[in-house]
Amino acid sequence: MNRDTFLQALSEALSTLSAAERDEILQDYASYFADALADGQSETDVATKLGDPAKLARELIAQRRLGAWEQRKSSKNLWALCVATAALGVLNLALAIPVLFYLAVLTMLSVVGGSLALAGLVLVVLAASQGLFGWPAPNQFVLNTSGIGPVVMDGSVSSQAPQIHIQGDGPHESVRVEQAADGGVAIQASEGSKTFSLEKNADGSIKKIDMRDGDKQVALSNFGHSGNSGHSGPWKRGVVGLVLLTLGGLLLWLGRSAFGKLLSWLRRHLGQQLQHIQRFTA
Amino acid sequence: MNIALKTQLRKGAIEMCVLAILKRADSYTYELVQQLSAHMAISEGTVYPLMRRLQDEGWVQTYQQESAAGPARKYYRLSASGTEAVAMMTQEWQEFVAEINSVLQPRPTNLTQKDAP
Repeated sequence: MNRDTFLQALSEALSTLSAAERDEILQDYASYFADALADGQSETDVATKLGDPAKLARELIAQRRLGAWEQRKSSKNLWALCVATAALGVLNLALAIPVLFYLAVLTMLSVVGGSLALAGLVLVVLAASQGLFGWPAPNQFVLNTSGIGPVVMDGSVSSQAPQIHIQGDGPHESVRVEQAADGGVAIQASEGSKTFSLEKNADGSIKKIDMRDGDKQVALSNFGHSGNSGHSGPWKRGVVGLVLLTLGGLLLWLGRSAFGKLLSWLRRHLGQQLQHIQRFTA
Repeated sequence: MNIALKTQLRKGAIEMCVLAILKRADSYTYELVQQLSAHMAISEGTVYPLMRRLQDEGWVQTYQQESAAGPARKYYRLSASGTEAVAMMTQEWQEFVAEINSVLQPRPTNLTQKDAP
């Protein structure tokens, strides 16, 4: 290997650095060659003594990455540092897997926390607007506590029950689904003197169940809801919203602080390893 | 074993040696390597990363100076904190050597004191 092939190999191995950083290093090695040649050494001797350009480049890159990371602790710089250290063989797979797992958990935590906080914020704002301005109307949005789908749903859609009327053979066989004036739904099935009717409130709770066969009758009503009061009021929504907001915020904070701890641990670990490597390869 | 120990010690002490040379006079990479290799076995390629490290620590500063032959050279100069660092390292080194020596070559007075009772 002569001067040009050494510098060429070094330049290629340093391609991930910025042009300015690369040029500075190459210039220094070029001037080292110039000094050595002026001193009477042969190009091949100097190149051999300087060692493997690829190995040299790995160390120089790791050093730059550590410096960049110490100056600005961004995730981009951390990633670059991890890649550079992995190339040095310091950060092994056994260490990388739990770190990646932990990172995945933290990411999940922040996503869940973020969506909870967002839902809470929407609820609080809606409830406050409802309490203060009477808009939107209580049945315009619905709090979904089923655990499936969005926490807040557009209530105006679900309150529109379909109107269905199915007529049987005679005038006494029919199934009807009708919307009541208060937003509730009435379902009635009849066959001759037998009828079954179910009335639901606008919020989905049962208002009345009525079963008859001629003179025999079972009627159940007064389930504790009456008319529109069955809607959860702005207060309840506001409180639920605040709880969600707090919970989401807590999760986010937890994720962030754990993230910070992980980063500082990684930084310390990588820093120690790098320093160790640098000391003992010098 | 002995060779390994010497290698480890040399690697640990090389920063101190470079700083000590720079304390006497400003220098550039090739000259530093020549001065070091006159006294100890070093791997030349790693001197540049080592100089980077000393720069990052703030112990040395660089400046360009025209050379008689060829392009301008990068010279290294000891900074104020580098001067402090090399003084501290030298002191620690001498204390360390004294400790090791007193274990390896106990003075006769110590032996007599120990044997006396």
